[in-house]
Order: sequence, then structure tokens, then C-alpha cells
Amino acid sequence: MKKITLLLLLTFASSLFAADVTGRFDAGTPYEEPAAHAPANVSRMFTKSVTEPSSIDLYATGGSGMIIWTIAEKPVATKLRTPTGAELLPFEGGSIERGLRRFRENDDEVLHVMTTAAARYQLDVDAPATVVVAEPESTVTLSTWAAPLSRQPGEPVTLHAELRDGDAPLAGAHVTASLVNPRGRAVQQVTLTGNGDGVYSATLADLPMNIPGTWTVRFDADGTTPAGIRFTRTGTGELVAERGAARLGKIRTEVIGDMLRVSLDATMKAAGAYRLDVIVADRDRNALAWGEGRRELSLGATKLELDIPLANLGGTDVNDLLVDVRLLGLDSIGVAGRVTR
Amino acid sequence: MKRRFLLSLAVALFAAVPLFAKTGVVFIHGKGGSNLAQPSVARAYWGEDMIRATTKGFTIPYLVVGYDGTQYMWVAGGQVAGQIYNWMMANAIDDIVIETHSFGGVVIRWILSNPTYDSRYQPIINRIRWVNSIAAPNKGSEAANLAGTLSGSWLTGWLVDLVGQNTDSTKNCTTSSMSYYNTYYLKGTAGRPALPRTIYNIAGTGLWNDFIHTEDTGLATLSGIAGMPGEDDGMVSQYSAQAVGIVWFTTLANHHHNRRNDYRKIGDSLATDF
Repeated sequence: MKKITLLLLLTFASSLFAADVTGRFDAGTPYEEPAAHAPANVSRMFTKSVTEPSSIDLYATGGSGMIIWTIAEKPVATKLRTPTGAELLPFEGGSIERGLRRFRENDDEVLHVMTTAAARYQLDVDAPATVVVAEPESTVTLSTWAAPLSRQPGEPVTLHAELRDGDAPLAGAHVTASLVNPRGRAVQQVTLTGNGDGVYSATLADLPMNIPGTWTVRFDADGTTPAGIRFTRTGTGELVAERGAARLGKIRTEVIGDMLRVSLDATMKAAGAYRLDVIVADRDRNALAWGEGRRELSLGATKLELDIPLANLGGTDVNDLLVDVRLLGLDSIGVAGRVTR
Repeated sequence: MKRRFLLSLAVALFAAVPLFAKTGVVFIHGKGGSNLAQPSVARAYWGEDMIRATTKGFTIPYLVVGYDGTQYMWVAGGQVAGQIYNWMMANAIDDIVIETHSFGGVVIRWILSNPTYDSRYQPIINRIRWVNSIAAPNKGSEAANLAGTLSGSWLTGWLVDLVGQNTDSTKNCTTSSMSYYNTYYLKGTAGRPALPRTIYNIAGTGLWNDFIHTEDTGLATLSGIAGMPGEDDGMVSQYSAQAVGIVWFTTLANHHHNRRNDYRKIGDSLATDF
């Protein structure tokens, strides 16, 4: 029985005491720095909320279909008035011939305007509701992002919006950003400044609250194209406010046997489980090798190290390497720190 | 298809799969409600015919994993790993083909990318032959971004149910969040270390499959509202589904149908692995 237990223990020893894992990149894989921000969200839609029965102006840019989604807490009756004065009454389903259709399912309702004119439509709602309006084929777009994607405490925050009509920049719009904290509360509104080429931005020295996690930014833009067509757009962006869980020191490397030992000092401000990641590239920024390992780290000063097999470096001079070290939280997901050499 | 056949042949000939391997199939569903942790709900997610077709009439040992569909990938990963580990140990399964739909593809990437996160991960990885990933939001979903845009006014309803409430799993699937996770925690996208097992991806490129189903109307609506670039299946864009792994095929089945064996016989295609 004991023998069997021992055999089982030996068999699964590697899984019980997880070792570091290393590997090499496929030849020709370029080394990639972490992106400063997520890819821009491109919006052809806007949202409006009303807290009582209202008539809502919907500005269409024309030449597109328009989808109007009404979200409410209880069944809501809507009436759509087009620029020609035609109306889709609450009890009407519409038709393809009329170019207006209504779909209803439970408490939700979707109206479809098959082709819009560049003009104002009006939607009457008989209850509090949020209306989401999209023109999927419109040439008027709002592209948005927030940076840095991984933000350590103290780093400034950049909010970026870009308005275009096809390739043409749309200047002179009013663009605001609302910051929603990781608990879902809107805590600050910022007006972005345009620089005349369709790009609007704002830089914040700090976030309004020290709450780690994902911050969502909602962008709202109102403006008029050079052709005099009014538009509204809503976009979104996100960034991760990190906890500042560690301060990492300078990277050191040394060859020990057939390994490249990568080491650095760290000061831990939050104890727990972490993943130590090392990526090694050559001077031409070709990614060569990687390694990772779990570390249980206590508060205060500590030394981090991880061995990369020299065989994975393809004969590259060890004094001529780009080394990228990242410490990632496992108990609490987030980037504790990153340094390069 | 031909490449996969040749690969299967090579695997068989060179005995990468042990000579007497016992093969099994694991189904990992996408995000949704917390009730997806219930076996019956998880099974209904796929539909009986999908499971039947994939397992060649239930002749291949299989496990339909159930997990709380509202959680982040690392929470879901623990629930998924626990069930796979117990099942493979109890049944001596040592050759596993994983079938995932939507967020399930992200959950298995979490497991594959973080072998030291949980002591059960590496034994599972060791037994995985490959993963067939249907419509996974590998670079996020513009539909999930809607939840953030509507944060604060996010109510209940038909379309909201399709997107999923603004739960942790929906937050996990925004394009920004997936950009963050792909940069730091997940492997398999361009410029990142390769995954330890091959993923074959299947992207949905159709919207209108069945005019009777309100889901089709909803998915077409979402596609238009969310501003998905290129082709999409109403919930996940083709570029996102194909951002990881090898393209196996695309399907006109939308996000509602591409986890089932109805509008297109996807289960029949998955069964060709056995």
C-alpha cells in the first residue's frame, strides 16, 4: 500500500510542486511591447436615457439603415416620427414597403428604419427608458480609447476620441468622457479638447478615486459635419488601474551552466501568489524565448529569479539580449510590475 | 479539413497518442447565467443532437462541463478543471478532445496559458490532444462592449439576455479586457508564446439562419448596434474568433446556432476527430 502511495506521489510530483515552464518562440516572431492602449472602439451608435415619458430627438446622418432599441423596465409604447412627417404608431408593426418595421420581444422593442435621411427623427416613449440608436452603414464614426491599458498608481490617464466622416476629420464637436469606477459608478465627467483635426483628448494627472480594477470610460460626442448634418455618437474605452503591488529593480543576467539566470530585486507591497514572466528577444527585436513560474511572495524585499535554457536562445550573445520581466498577480489579477533591459 | 486529416493520420502512425489511449470528449459552454453550473442547463446549452453527433451516437466517452457562466475566466477555469480532472481520473481518459463554444474558448485558453496557476491544470493539459474552439471572443466582442457603454442603465430584457448582463464574464469579454489579458495572461495571439496545445478555430459568419427564432432577430440587431467589423455571427466577429489557432472552417451558423447541430451540422464535423 505504501509503495503504491509513493508511486502515485512520484507520478504526480510535478503537478503538486509546479516547476517553472520555459519555451521558445517560433522563428520570426517579433517581440511585442505591451500595447499602450486597447484597439480603438469604433462607434456608429449613440444612447440616450430618459427618466419620464419624453420625445427624443434622433439625428441621423443619412444613407444608412437605423436601428432603434428601446430598453425599459416595463413594456414601453413608442411612436416614431420621420422627417417627412410619416409616423409609426405604437400598435403598428410597419412593413418593408413603408421602410419602417417594429420587432417586439417581451419588454424590448426594436425599430428598423430601412434607409435614413440626413435629418431629425423623433421617438416618443411613454415610460423611462434607455434608447440605443445605431446607423451601421454611416460614414460618421467615433473611435475611442483610454490609456494606459495597464496603469500603475500615479501614471497620468489619457482619454482619446477621434471623429471622422469617412476619411475627413470632424472638428468643432463637443466631446465628453464619463469615468465609471470598477464598482460601476460614474464619478467624473471630463470635456475633451479638440485640436482641429478630428482628434479630441484630455489628460488627467490621476484617477478621481484610488480603486484598482477596470475603469470604463463612456464618450459622448455631438457635432455637425461640414455639410451641416448633425450627429451624435457614443463610444467606450477601458483601462486597468493596477494596485501597485510591487516595485521591481534592475534586471541582472548571468550564465549558470546551460541556463541564463534572470534575476532582479523586488519590493512587495502586497503579499500573495504571483506569476513571474520573462521574455527574451535579440537586438533586432525578434522574440527568442520565454519562461514563467509561480511565486509565493511575502511583503517587503525579495529576490526574483528564473532560468531560461541557453538552448532556447539560438546562440544569441547573452550580453546582447532584450529582457522583459513581468510580475502578474494570481490571487488578485493584475500587473504588479514590469521592467525591461 | 485535409490538413487535419493528415495530422490525425500522422498522430496515429507515429503514436503521439499512446497506442491504447482512451479517448474522451469534453464540452465547455460559453458565458450566460449562473444556472449554467447545473448539468441539465449546461447540456441544454449544446442541445442533445450536438452531443450525439460529436460523440458518434454517444459511443465516445464524454463530459459536458457546467460552470457558473457569470464569472471571470479564472473562476470558471477552476470549476471546469475540477470536473475534467475528476472525470479523466475516474475514467482513465488520457486523450481528450476539447470542444468549446464562445467564452468556453477563453476559459480553456486560461487553463492552457497558466499551467502553474492550479495543480490540476498541467495534468489536464498533458492529456489534451487539441481544442476545437467555436466562435471564441479571443480579441473580445464588440457586443460585450455594449454592456460597458450602457453601464448604469443596464436592465433586463431580450437583447440584454443575449449579450449577457454586465457580469464578470461579460466584462471579461470586452475588446479592451481581452487586449489586456492577451497582453499579459493569455498565450496564443500574435507575438505571445504559443499555447501548449493546438487550437482549431471555427468562426461564425452568418446572421439570419431561421426567421422564426427571435434570437436571429436579436443577433442581427446586436451586430448592427455593436459595430462589429467584418463578418460576425451576431456576437463574435470573425477576426476575433480567428485570432488564436488554426482556421478549421467558417460556418454560416450564427452564435445561437453554431453551438448546435441544427442549421449547420457542426457536430458532424467535430465527430471527424474520432
